[in-house]
Amino acid sequence: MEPEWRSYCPSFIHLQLKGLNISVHGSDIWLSWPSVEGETYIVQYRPDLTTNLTWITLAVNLPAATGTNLTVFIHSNQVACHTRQTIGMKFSSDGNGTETLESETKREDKQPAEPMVIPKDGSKAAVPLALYPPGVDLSGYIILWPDGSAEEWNAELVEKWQASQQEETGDPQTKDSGGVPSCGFYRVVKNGVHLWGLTNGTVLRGVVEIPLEMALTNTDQITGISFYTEDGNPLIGASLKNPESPWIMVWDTTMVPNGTYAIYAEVDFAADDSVTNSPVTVTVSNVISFPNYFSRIFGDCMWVYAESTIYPADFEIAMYADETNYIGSFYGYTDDGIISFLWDLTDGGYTFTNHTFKGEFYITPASGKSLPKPGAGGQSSSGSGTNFWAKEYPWSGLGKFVVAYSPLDDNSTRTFRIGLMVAGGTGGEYGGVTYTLGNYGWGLYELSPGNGQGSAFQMYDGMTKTNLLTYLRDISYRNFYYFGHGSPSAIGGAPGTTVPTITAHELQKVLCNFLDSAKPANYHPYRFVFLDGCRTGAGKMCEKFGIPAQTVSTNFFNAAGVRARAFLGFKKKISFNDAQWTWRSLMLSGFFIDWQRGLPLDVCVSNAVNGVHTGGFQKMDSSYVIYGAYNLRIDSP
Amino acid sequence: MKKFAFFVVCCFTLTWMVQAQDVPPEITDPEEREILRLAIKLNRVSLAYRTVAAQMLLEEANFLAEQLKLPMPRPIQPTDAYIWVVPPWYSKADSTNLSLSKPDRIRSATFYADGVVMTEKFEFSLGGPQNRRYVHRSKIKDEDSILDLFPELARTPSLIDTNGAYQLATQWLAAVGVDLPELERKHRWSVFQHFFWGNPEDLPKDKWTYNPPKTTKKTMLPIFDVKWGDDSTPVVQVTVLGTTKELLDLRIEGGSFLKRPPLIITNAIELNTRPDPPMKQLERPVQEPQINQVVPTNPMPKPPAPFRREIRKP
Repeated sequence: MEPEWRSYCPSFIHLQLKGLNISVHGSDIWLSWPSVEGETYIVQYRPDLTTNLTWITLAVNLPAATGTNLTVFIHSNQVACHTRQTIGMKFSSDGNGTETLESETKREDKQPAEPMVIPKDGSKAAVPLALYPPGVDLSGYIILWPDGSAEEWNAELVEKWQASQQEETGDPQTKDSGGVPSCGFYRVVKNGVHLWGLTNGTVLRGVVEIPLEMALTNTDQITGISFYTEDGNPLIGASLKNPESPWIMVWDTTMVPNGTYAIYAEVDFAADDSVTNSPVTVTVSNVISFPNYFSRIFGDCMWVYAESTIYPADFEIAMYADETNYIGSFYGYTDDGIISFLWDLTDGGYTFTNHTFKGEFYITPASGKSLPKPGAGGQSSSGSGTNFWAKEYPWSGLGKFVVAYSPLDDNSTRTFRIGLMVAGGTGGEYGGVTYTLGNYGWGLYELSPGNGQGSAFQMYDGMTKTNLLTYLRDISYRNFYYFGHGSPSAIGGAPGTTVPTITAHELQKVLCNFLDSAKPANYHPYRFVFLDGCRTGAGKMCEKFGIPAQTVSTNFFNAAGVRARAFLGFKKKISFNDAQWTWRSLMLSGFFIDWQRGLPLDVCVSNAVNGVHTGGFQKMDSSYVIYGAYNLRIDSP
Repeated sequence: MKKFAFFVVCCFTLTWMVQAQDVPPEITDPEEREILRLAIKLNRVSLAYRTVAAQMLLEEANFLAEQLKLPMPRPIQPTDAYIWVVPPWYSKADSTNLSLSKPDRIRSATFYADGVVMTEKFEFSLGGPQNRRYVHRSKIKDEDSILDLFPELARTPSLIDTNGAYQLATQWLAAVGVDLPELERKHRWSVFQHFFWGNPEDLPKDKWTYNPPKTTKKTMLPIFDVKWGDDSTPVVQVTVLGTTKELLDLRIEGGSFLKRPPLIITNAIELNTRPDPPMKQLERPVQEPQINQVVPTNPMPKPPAPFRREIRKP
């Protein structure tokens, strides 16, 4: 299978594989690079860059050498001139976001053409500044400018330089080899997905953009890319800069508390297993953070919440209606770094009805107040930060229920049984989902079209996908059950069928919920979502339904003046035995009966996981995860 | 050939549909088949069963409404409520006699009325093997949700403190048949007053995926949860609105401290297997056309109106 090559790191092209070396030994080309055991590589070659030639794959899944930290690959009989010569290397781009390594016949010692950074203590070699994404804190480093001067690292200085570079160079992907005599082109990339430019110990602050590099040996459709901490929890505040061109991760580090995080990216495919990278340990250090990120959504009142490393401190929060009109400030004092209060959206007499607000936070060490306790961590300098809030429109009642399933494969008998499982049998005798929930059966809900006695809505092609998205978009629907294939970033899809995939990005476009964006919005939040598929709860699919990827209580939402909500999914792959569809139908029925009885969601789940209503047959998978309110009830405020 | 294939598929589907009414052939273990057969039998609500269960649920809802002096029309009339009845399969307690086979333990199960009585202002979720009693106020001051009152409540002083909330809660519990000494002998009580930031120790720590806040500053709301038992899964919880001393929520998960009799349906299996009376539709006698009735004689549709012409000035 021809490897699919995806990478994008325009300003870091020359650092594709750090430390890669090329040399000629007799008629052989030797490629060598620093490596870590467990990694695998793809090596490719082409004689020149003319468009009628394609890359020749020399090695797929080439394992890193064991017992040494250097891997060597020998491309035999490639050089006609039998001279023993060490040669340099050069990268170029073919303009499609791919990088190449061109062998040169001689090494040129030139003054570096761009700024380099080096630790003050000289403990590491100088590396190009461009290696580090914007937002990386390089305190303790010195910048060596191309003109030979040197300066201590400073964030503003770097930002100015980066801005000037963008203006000067335009599209950085247009660099090429410049006609240097060559013996061919090589490219070597680590297999999988990588967070570019991040190394263990990197300090991050504010919003950082981290390029993604992917070298994938399969050609399956990518349905999404998600980001995690090492413990498998989704990385709050991290998303793709442009989901339709998924090459840059944007992480608003102010959405997580300060601390150390081991983070990794995962590429999800329509059918194949996902691909991840080894976690990279980074430290988040922000003077002001907004880790309680759901509080940026407000209803009849607003919860203002921030954490500061400066304390005891005085603070001012300058509030702007619709982001531009200054309407006044909150002033206060914090002795522990926490700023937390409720605003009823009035200035005492006037009630603001704006849909969005911006707050500029200014924090200064308190004068005349006691100093921070030793070891308490309080800082003595001032700090500032900005937060945004968006209104969620009130909604009430149960809301209607969207119910849908899709086939798992092209086995028609299995698909038929899945339909029966969801419908609860032809006469509702097993309850299932639709007969238990639907008001034509036992339930309290009005269901989406296609769900009735003995039938359930099946998404099997483009048309039915459009229908399903139309139901989901309808503001009268506030609940969703789906059975079918799943992943952390998509539902649907089935190999060998016409079953389409609905990606998290598509859901976001339909529902317009942007919880983790710099400027949040929650236009169509859902009350209860149950995605009954593999790994649907591993990522942040919940956010697409306006539900934060945090497990909290109903009080959490009430504090923000909005209705409580919950998402149920699974962290691991779940199995479906179609011969047991009857028991699974009863299990789902028991789950939704408990829900309609008014039991808290975690109790409903616990009963299903323990097989309470099925005599122990077909228990719910124990890898479930509840995001939002774990104690949500059907009648919770 | 195509017709034959279509015929085979139809037969297959029909066979499946017929078999789906009974236990599918994939379930081969005789005991499992028997249990599933019982599940199908009990996984419906016959009219006879519904009538008996609904009556019991309504009586209990009326008892609670009366004892709690709920601000609603009392007694609740069947016409003023929607009563949702849970099928007997989900509201049974299997026999604990282990000498019986599993199917026989189901046949010897005790069945309980279980469901929800919904009225305009209050919902009552009642019964089941746990003998639960939930009373939930669904409408306050004509608002669908108490959330709508939060800004007002944040500015309104409470008429009671945590002790007052506890006093009210215990009075209500005693009125609905809770043996308080026994409840408190088994379960510790606590009072939680709502405020804008939840108290971290009030939630299981492992539920939090981020650092709990360290603040001690609170904007108190006049809403009190009085709980008995584990904080995250209390056996009894009463929520009181401090500004009016009204009941917002009462949840008794059941237990020996509740002296109300369980809502047992003694002949549940017999009731649920009783066939529903046949449905009949009102039939109208064929009416002769009346003399003064306009009977269209020309079946042709009315011709379209001619195009309207405008007078044009020269």
